[in-house]
Amino acid sequence: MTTNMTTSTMKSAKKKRRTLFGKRFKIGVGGAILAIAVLCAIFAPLLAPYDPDTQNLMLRLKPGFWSDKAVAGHFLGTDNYGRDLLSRLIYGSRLSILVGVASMLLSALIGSIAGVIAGLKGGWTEQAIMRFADAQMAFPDILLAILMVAALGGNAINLILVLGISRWMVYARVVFGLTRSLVQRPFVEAANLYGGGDFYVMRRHILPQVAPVLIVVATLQVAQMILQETALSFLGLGLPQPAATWGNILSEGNTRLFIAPWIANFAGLSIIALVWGVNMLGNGLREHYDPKMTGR
Amino acid sequence: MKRRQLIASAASLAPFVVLGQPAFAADKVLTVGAAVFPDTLKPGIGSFASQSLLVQTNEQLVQRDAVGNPQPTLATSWELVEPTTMRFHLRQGVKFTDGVEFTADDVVYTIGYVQDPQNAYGAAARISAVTGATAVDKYTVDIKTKAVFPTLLRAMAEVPILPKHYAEKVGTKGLTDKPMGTGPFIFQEWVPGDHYTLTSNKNYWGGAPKFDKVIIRTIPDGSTRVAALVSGEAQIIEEVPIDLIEQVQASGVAKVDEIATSVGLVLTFDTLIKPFDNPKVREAFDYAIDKPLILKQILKGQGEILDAQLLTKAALGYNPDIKARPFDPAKAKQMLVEAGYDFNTPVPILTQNGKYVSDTDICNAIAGMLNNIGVKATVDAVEGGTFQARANVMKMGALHMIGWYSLGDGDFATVWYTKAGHRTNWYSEDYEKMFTAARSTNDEKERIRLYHEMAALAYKEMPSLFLFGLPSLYGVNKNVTGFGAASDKILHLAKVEFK
Amino acid sequence: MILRYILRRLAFLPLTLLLVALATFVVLRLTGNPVDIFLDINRTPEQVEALTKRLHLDLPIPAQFLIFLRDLLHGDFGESLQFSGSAATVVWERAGATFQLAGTALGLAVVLGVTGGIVCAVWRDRAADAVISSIAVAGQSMPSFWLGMLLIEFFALQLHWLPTSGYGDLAHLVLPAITLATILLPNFVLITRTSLLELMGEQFVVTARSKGFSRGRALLTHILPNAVNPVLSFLGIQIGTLMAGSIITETIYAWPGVGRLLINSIFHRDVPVVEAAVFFIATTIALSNLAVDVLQMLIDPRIRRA
Repeated sequence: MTTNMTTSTMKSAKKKRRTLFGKRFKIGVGGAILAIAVLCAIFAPLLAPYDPDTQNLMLRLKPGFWSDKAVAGHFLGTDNYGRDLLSRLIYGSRLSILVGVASMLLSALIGSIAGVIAGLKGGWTEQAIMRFADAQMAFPDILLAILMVAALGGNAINLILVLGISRWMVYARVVFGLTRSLVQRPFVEAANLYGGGDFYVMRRHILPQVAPVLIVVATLQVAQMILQETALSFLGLGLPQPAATWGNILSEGNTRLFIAPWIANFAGLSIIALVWGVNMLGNGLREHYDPKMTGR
Repeated sequence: MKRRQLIASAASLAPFVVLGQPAFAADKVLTVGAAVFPDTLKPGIGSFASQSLLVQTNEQLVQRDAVGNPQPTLATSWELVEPTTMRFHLRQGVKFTDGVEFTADDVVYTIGYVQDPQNAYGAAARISAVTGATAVDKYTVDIKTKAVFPTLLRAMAEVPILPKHYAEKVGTKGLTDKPMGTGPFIFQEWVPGDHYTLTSNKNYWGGAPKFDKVIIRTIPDGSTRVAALVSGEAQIIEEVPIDLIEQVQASGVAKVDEIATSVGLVLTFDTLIKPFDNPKVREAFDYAIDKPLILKQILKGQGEILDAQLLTKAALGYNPDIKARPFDPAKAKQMLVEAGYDFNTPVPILTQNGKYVSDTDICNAIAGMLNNIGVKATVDAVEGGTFQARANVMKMGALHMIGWYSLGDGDFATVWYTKAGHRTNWYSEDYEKMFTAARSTNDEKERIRLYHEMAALAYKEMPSLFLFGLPSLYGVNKNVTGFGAASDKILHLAKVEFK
Repeated sequence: MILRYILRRLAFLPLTLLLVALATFVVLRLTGNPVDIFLDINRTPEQVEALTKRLHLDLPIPAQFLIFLRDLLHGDFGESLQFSGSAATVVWERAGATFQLAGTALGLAVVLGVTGGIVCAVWRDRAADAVISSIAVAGQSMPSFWLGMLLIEFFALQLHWLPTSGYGDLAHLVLPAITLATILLPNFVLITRTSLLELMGEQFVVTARSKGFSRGRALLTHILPNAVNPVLSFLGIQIGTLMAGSIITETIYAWPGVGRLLINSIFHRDVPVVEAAVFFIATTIALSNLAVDVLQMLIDPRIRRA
């Protein structure tokens, strides 16, 4: 982003100071949170005390351990249908992480391919792809997602598809910029001269250079995707019940925030924790790979 | 068009107003929090929400009272002069708020307006049998119908009278931008998506309202709406969510005003989808649903269980001999097994979210109960546009939920299963015949008998699962008197008084 | 020079908008026939015919698109289905409320965010930095509609300081503006912090410091002016986020802006209004981006080379 910066090696000139919030801390804490969430998702059947979908209307909206109205066995209380909130949150991590990661992978794939092609081919191809990316930048991602979910209907596959398509240009721009700068480097020109095709150049020279940047961008995008799923749920365009995602637990709890605040609050805290962890991990990785890289 | 005041310029007045209190403290302002807000004041949009705003300025010949019976309004009396002609005697000496007198010409003009297809008038189909209206004299109107049409009077409650002289001058656009009529309130300001402000009509024939202004504000979210009531920002709110009744009662500032509506909440089968073409399967589902438990836990005892028919207990044509089937999951399961039901059949339940009291909650609870006997039921809560689109091509999937209004008369409700109603794929020739017969007689006893038989047929065939008669719940500040919850969700504000 | 740049960028604007229009058009046609959805269930065949004609739905789809484009050139999106009046007017009437909310939120986010970022950079790796940075990252992670409800509960229900929702005076603006600002604010803290830290390591700053400039003076004369650019360029990117956030925020607080109008119109399949609103939002974003770029060029001549 900051093309006006001259490259500098001055970071070593900075005083060596003990950092409270170094990259290791970020990667460690962020990675740990993500790992816990992933483990929860994988081992949900072992961890969850109840079936997440089993209702018990007699036990609707009961608070958890902090209250004397709590019902034994429901540590975090129950939801609107008397389902165990803890179990739903544990199972909910599955779809939330799946949607976040899968849509990130999809958009990274589309974006990277588009970016590399634009960077390698140049000319009209570049203009077409990059102007299209620009146009989509002027189109808020949530708006595209709303329109598409309204058209296609909300299920996990559609949601992943929609979120994936709504963010590809973020990767396209980053990858395009890097590819362009690499194409002019001697080693790529040499490879071309010796008859290495586009695909060879891409695999052998460009991908390894682009990968670290992609990893950073992709990590931060997972956080965005998880939040996006939440926002769609709030607008009534998320995954349908009885599927549990943190987004739909939160948005359902939100309508009862004044009488059963624990539902929204625990779901909200789970989301904050996970997204915060992923963001930390992403920022840590960014500092690790390139302390000078800014922008998103 | 006459450019309405830009919202931005309204905002520049902001400093004159402090913390939600109106600047002109001398004005006595009633604030109403509306759940559903129409997008326009265009006459004839046809939703209850838009009707509720329109009738503040424009009255009908007859209005439904709180329980749904037609009461004299702009017409004082009426009679059938022929089986196909109804004569209305109009209230004399009533003036529109611009001072022009209300006469028979206005009624004739309004009927013509409703019938003009260009106007896309929502209630047009409800008076489709009308061939035209003629003025007998200044205060008498005859409305003629193609055939005997017993529900004409009730249908006239759907048609607010438009002032002919004004409508001809300003057109539909003017009527929409600045409605004007004989009602208790006068248009002041309309901010789409936010609020509607009206001033009191000091010369109202029914007695001037006891306050100066009413602001009807949209507050779509249920908990925010209750918050506005409890914090005193609004004196009356529509549609208190059932789970928040407790919060309202406990607040000490407001109470809940409830009335049974004529809406029957039903889950209708698509009988073209196998195995739901089998009445035994449909009946089995009925046994699987614990309606009393849902009524007690989700509806908190508000409303009623439908007696295995479309009509609520108060509606004309309700059949007292039919009772709801008991909850018997074992029997349900056994019946399904006997019918050779494939338990892997996906059973999506299609519903809108927030259209009716606790709609999604009820669907989810029912899906859970069906899951308990091994039926693979899921809930598909979609937004209004999608729901409507699927309704129009009649591809609603195995089950879909709708609240169907009878407006107090079997005629309107029973359309649901007719071919002309274009609502369900279930079809019965007998039902069709009885419906036509009921519609073509002015003998009320005979009509009731026919409705009873139709209900009995539907009980046997179960084209739908009949669930609940829903309540209409208003939250009302304790200082407010003279407000009554209405079963048709139309706001009646003229008699409201408050401290 | 600058003029040529602006002209070149403006030349691309119609292309962007054309793509936006095409995308909206295609997606909306996928969502089903608006006539079916819009007309009352008791509709008569005559009403269906009248509306089909009005929306040109009786023509083949490419012809529909051409008509749509032709009208677009005249700024005409057609008559709204649910409101009386042209779709463009309906959207424009709501624009004021959106600009008011978005402008206030952006102002709050920039001022507080940049201040926070400076604090973090100056006291890098001290307690203040750790606290502000972590709050900022946590703020990035918070679903805004949940924050909105929590704010309503605390400030409107518990303390009775502010109204719960709606539009009107300044008091009504406070909670929505805070909610929307919270979506952007953390990003500004972090971007300011990063830019400043980078600059502090730059040669010219180090030189200035070695010439005896105090830390504060170096900050004011050398660092801050150079940090304006990265922050500005970031602001350009954030306009999209701001508009997207306003859709959610307006829905929470029943704020009568374009965002809520849009959601409402999508649910009611008011095709002309959806098209006009999407167009309005896209144009706003594109023009804001252009404005930001031009501003950047004026401030920093080096960019003109690009």
